[in-house]
Amino acid sequence: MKAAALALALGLAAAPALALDAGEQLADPAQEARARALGRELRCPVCQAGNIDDSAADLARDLRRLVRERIAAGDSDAQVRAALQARYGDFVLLEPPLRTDTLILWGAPLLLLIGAGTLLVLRQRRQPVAPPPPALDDEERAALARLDP
Amino acid sequence: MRVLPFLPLAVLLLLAAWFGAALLRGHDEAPPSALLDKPLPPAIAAALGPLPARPLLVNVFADWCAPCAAEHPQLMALAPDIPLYGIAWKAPEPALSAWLQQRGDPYARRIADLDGRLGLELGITGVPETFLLDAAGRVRARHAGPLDAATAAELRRMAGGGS
Repeated sequence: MKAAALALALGLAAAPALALDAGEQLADPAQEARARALGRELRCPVCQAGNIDDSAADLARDLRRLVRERIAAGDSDAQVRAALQARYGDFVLLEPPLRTDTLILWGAPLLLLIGAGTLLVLRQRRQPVAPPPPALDDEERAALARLDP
Repeated sequence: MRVLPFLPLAVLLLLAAWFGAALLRGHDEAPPSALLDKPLPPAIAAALGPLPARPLLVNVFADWCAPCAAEHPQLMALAPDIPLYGIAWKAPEPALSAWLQQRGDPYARRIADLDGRLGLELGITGVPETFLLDAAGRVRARHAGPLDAATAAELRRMAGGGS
């Protein structure tokens, strides 16, 4: 039982498998950390659904190397992102940039939520309030008294 | 009859129709190239050397790539009409030359991209990938994947239609 619990804990603690190998890493840990963080934000052009750190594709490895070269050359994170956007377009960023033409993309979920919420509130208001039940007359009052003295 | 309760169902059916149509379309489209309507990146222009002022094709390929072999006949057919400039992506010699010798060499000029940097400059998503340039040297179209007859015809049309 203990062995099973330990195995489960270790399994959960295991870091996700990255396609990065040790040879790719930059010597400076701060720079490598930046490279990893950027790698997680960049879409692999081959797989399209994952980032370049996780992808085993040749192109992903080339892009990881490009990112590291730029960082080592002194580029800021924004500059590295811009360099990749220049070659691959906005699609290479896993998080779409916030610009006037992407406002609809960013705003749509919130707008839908507000729209749906408004519709619901309006429907609630428009429903006629049920009239109060008529007051009990003498017969009914007598019957009530008999049942519940 | 109140329409509102049917709205979620209508939205669902519309989405289903849209997704169904996209799925049935068959091929996967790469996102539009970041180079469209722009000239070739400086690194590529420098590597390729002077290019004629007429519509031409830049084709990224490799000898170890099966779809490249598949599209090769299309390239041979296009070569007499539209000049082809080849970028051999991660394709070392002598295998590359042997492959071209065996199948025929459609390229007016061919350069090597052994470490893949030129491919990155072009924003390729794999090989083969073909770029159509107009007479002014601007990228007009990018086709990711092997050229089939229909795409080759389309490229001819775009190139021949003047620029």
